[in-house]
Amino acid sequence: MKEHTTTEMLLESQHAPLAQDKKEALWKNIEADIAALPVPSPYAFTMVTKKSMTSIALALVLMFSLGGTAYASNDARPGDILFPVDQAFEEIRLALVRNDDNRAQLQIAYAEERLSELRSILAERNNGQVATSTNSSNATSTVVTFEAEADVFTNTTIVTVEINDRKTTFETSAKTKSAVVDEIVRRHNVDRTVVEQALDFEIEDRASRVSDADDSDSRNNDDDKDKDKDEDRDSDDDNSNDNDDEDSDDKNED
Amino acid sequence: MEYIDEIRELISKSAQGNSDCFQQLYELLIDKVFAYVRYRTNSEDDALDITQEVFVDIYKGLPGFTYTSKEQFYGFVFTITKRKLAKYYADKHTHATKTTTEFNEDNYSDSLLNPETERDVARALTTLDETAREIVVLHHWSRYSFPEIAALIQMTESAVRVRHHRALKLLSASLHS
Repeated sequence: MKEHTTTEMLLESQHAPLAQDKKEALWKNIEADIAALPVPSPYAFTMVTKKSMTSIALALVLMFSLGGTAYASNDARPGDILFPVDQAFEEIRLALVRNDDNRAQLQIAYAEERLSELRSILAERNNGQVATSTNSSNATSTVVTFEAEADVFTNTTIVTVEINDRKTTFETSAKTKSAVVDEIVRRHNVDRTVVEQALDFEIEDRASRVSDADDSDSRNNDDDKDKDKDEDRDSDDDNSNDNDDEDSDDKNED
Repeated sequence: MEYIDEIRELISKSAQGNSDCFQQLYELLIDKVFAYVRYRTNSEDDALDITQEVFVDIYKGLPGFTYTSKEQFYGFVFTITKRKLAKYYADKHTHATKTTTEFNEDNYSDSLLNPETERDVARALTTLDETAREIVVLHHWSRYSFPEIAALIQMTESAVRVRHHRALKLLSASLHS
């Protein structure tokens, strides 16, 4: 043990700590070096080292891009590029909901969202049409051709209007010719006399069928001819029937 | 406990750019750092240069350092010191004449005290293996405690104590022979 302590003393005697003047000189050098460094900021983000910077930047980019897409997709409507993203986020939210009541509420909310999206799409389409029709009728002089036909059925009236080869059909409750004219003028902003002259007003003695609206579209001007043909055919049929009858009569006579 | 909190305080203030606080840290560390660097280098000038770089690096590293214990802080300093020494050897290509911790008897020719004893001690140290020599140097010259050394060189405290005890035995034998 004694040997150890003498060895230790011997060892330690061999180490000369730095002299005070050298220590101070060294400190002066270090102080100068430190002063040359950029001043560390007193704020917490000085903790952000180069290494952590990368991951923080990555996280931020991911967060913003994902959040941005999610946010943008919320306004997406069926047919939009982001619509599947919107749906995906909805499904994720649904999957995360534990409570059945909450899930049902969420589903209702989503259904309402879908409906309102559809409504907005429809409104957009109608607006487009109104815009074009008002464009063409704002200046009545631009109305080159105007044709109108009204079929008054017992339950409704179907009106087909063709302005400059652009055909629109609508349903109205108007029963008289002047009421239908009023309706057309109101809807299409066309000169009243033009409408009165062009309107083909027919009273059909039956209830309307689903096909009537399309029918009136396709028939349009050829309507009269078609009707004539129909009548011809009917009369032919009658004749043939008559003939048959006659034949049978003949046979009976035989 | 007061002492530990004092170090913590000094570190956080130094990290915010307070050079007076860093000077206190310097006073606390200079003997420990310099003793080890001096033991690993050929001349006092080199040792001073490296020590200077070590302290600048410590200062730069403090904002990213979170203090938990004195041993951990010494470990932080020791890692920087070793890195600087490795750079020193790589830059100077000195490892041709002196591998990492191979002890050079001529190292201390420019130091004080009895040159004869000095040479004896140096020769005795060369008889030790690298780890034992490191433990002896860190304990007797850098004045680190055994728990601190254990943290620095990643050994258990008891292993450090055992290695130190054996090293002293060997040293006594070669010094008193």
